[in-house]
Amino acid sequence: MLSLLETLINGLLLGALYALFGIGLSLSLGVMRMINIAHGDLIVLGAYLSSVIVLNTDLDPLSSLLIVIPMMFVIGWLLQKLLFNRVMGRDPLSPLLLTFGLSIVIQNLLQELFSADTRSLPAGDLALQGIELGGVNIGVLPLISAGISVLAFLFVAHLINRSPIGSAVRAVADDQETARLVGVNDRRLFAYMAGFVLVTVAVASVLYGMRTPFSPTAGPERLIYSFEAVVLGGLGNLWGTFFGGLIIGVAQLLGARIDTGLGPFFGHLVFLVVLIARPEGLFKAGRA
Amino acid sequence: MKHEKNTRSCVPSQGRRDFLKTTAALGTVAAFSGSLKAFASSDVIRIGYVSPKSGPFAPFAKADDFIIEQVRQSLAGGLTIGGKHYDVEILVRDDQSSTDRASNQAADLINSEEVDLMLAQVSIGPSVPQQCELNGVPCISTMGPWEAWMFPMGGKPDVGFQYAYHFFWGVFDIARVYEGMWSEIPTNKKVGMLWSNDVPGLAMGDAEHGMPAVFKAAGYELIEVGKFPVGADDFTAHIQAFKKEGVDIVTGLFNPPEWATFVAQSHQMDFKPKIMTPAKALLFPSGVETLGQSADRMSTEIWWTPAYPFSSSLTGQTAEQLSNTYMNQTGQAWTQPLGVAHALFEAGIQALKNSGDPKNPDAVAEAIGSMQVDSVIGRLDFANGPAKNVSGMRVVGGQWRIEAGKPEIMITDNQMAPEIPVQRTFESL
Repeated sequence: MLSLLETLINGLLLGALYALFGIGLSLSLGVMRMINIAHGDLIVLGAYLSSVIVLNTDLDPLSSLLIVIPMMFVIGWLLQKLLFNRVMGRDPLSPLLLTFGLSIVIQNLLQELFSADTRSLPAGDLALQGIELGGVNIGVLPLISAGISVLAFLFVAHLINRSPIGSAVRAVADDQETARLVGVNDRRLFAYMAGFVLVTVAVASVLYGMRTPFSPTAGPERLIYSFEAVVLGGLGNLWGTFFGGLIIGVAQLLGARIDTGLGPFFGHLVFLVVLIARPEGLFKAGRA
Repeated sequence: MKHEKNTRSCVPSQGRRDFLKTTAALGTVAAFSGSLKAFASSDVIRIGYVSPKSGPFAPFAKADDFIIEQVRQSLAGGLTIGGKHYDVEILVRDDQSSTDRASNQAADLINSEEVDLMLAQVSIGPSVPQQCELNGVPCISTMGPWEAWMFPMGGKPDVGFQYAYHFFWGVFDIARVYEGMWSEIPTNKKVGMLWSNDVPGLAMGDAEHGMPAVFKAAGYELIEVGKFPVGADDFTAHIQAFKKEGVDIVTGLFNPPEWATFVAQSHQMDFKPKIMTPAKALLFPSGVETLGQSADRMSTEIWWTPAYPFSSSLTGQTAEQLSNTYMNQTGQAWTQPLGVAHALFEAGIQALKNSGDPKNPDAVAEAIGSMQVDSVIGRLDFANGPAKNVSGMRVVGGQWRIEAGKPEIMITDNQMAPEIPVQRTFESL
């Protein structure tokens, strides 16, 4: 019983990280109606940026975010301005193909620059610490990651629902044509949105790099988990993405109790079953 | 009239085409006669080399550029075999860590470049030797347990192949090395095993033909929850089971990221075994560095270190000189594949020399079969290997020590190769 509880808690903590992977994807899907295939590779890119900063300065991975976040914002803004805006709104296939190409470019660029070796962000003793609560062992780093994930979701939800920029975003998400009529410059808004999406990616990538070593080809797997979290929760439903991530995490770990080799398989299985039973996602699709 | 007109209009254009054709043909003849002249006194031996220069298996081929440059220098004057002088050309191909691409590259080297000998790294799978065996080109490969080379190609240990040869250690060899290390300190003899859910993991973790068979015969109690998926993010189920059983020793087959995840989670969940001996995860210093201080006293198999008391038949360098030259020239830390990949070229060149007729594939293949080479990783002996067409290779056991933040591997067990000196005694974690 105790070990089941331990599995459940570890699953929730892992799921919170998956949810954090998904937050950016949820935003770009919900607002910009764009599937970014390079999302996972951008997470890995963020982890590499952080590792370069950690190696060349005295900063630890978490404080490297001070530099990584602005860098990722600029990268996102530029990507949208120079690349994505050219294909937006034409047909759903063009952004898909474009980001698919971008994914390959990023992977090869990282391999060229950093070789195929695995790297990790040194979390020091933090990564090894655990606390024991009534016979249940919980890792400190996963706990911190989950906390940051919850904070990130609260922050983004607040931004979308309460701020003026959020109402512009929601307006575009609801009806792009009408939003334009009332004076919302959607292309400029999209550029800032993409920058913001990459800010969430930056946070996710540093926590990811501290938990698991990464290599240039690790991106696609991250994409799958993010994508499942987003679709499971319902497209465009931010908190849906959060709970979607949690469900995937718990399903993986409970699945691993049945057969250790099939943990991720059970995550995918839950996703598929939900997709068949409720194609619109578990939670009612709401606003971004 | 019409006919005449047609003929007239056709003549000049035909003439032009003929002129172009003739010029092209003349050019080709000129080029051939030029090269024929150059080859009059010496022939060219072409060696193909396929390795994972990029992709997830790239660390195995990291030293390739350095090694090939050295080999090219030592062969700059060509080879004289059977009284005839040959120039040697090495054609290098990257398989991008993909078995399909490795097959294509091998086929291209065989059909378009007409290589006389193929050398290959088969850490991803034996696609290159398979092509060579099909097309009758002699091939020597390494960088994978010989079982993972022979059985996927459908070979039988007592039959072997006609053109494909391989040198490496076998699964039982490293199992004995592990067991030798573990027996040096007192434990409860309970081993927790974690094998990755892929072809190498299934092969090495096989209860009958894999490492567990050796451990069981040596009296160890084996605890296995199940395979883990490649790229696993979580090991809760395994660690819970190991804690419950009071496991002292952990072993298995890991890629570096999975191992780092397992180690961190073991600490978090307060699981503290006395010995941790993963295969593959601790081969490269980069994988060890990620673990930080927690890698201290973790143990693994060693295929080659600068402490090996052997020297190269090609350059005359000792193991230590080879690794020092590498580190000076590239500024990178030495890795175990450096010695092994160097030895691959030693074996290849020796085979050409022994053949008497390097342009004859059957002569070369036959020469490899009876060949003994004293290489930088020790003697390779294809005549008396663990299976037909296979030469064994020394493998010893060692422990990583982290001193002043820098990882260094120390040989602690040499039962399988007593001529390699032990550097330190085995200690518990």
